[in-house]
Amino acid sequence: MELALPLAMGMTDGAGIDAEEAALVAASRDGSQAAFARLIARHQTRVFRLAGRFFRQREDVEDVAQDTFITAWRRLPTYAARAPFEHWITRICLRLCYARLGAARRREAPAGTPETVAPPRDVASSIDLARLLSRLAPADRFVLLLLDGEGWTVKEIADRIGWSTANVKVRAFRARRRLRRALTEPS
Amino acid sequence: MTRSMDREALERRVSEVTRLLAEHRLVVDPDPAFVDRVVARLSREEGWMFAWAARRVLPVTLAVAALLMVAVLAVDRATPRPVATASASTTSQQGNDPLEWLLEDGRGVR
Repeated sequence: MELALPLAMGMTDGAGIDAEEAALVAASRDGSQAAFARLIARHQTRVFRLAGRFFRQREDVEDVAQDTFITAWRRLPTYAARAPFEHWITRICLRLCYARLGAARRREAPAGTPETVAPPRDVASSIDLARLLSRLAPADRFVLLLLDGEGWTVKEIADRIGWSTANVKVRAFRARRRLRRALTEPS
Repeated sequence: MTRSMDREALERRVSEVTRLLAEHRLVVDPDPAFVDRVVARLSREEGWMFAWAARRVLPVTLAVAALLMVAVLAVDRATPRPVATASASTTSQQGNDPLEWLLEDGRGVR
């Protein structure tokens, strides 16, 4: 189904909300899968890149990306369009990544095989990041990857995940403390 | 001196971890069929949603129906049944005015 869109892609309404995107969201809300497919096409790369921060296996990244869009489709009626769609989809993706990290931790073999969440080891470094991260709790890993990986500020993390700023600060502080401890302890 | 050196070494390692975290990313790009796969799942999800809704609604519907039945039975028991008189049944059988028995009763009282 071809959609009649009032403005060219990229034009915004002044509040940072793309007019074409707003039309696609409205059509998707009315049940148009074609419009939603176009929304997926617009945001899929961003979602894949974000999920790629947390998982090493391509299947994990793909699963999270699919679940992100399925969840978005189900929850479209709750999207109030006060913030760009991109922020909303980012929040869904982050929450799913966080949940999957926790679930992966629970599934971990008791023998303690290090969870493979990193790209191949940087040979120039003396630190095995994958092993180091596997020794941290999922919440710590999550916050550190957002702070140091994505380079987001505490406020950006709070806004995008829906946690309070104080909560993010406390988690970040604890995560850094545990990271330091992990660096001083023998693996 | 040793303690400060240890601290310096730790700070170096922390900086190294920060650098590695910035590079820590599995670069995966969606394949061209990704959108189609999600849309196919959407269709399946809709069927699943109907089933889910039906499963959620069915017990509620049954509960409401059971409550209504109990309420109807309770009201039915509480309401006194009109005593059918022999004359009434007679008049109804005769096919005359259904209120005729009232008049007949009235005549009896008088």
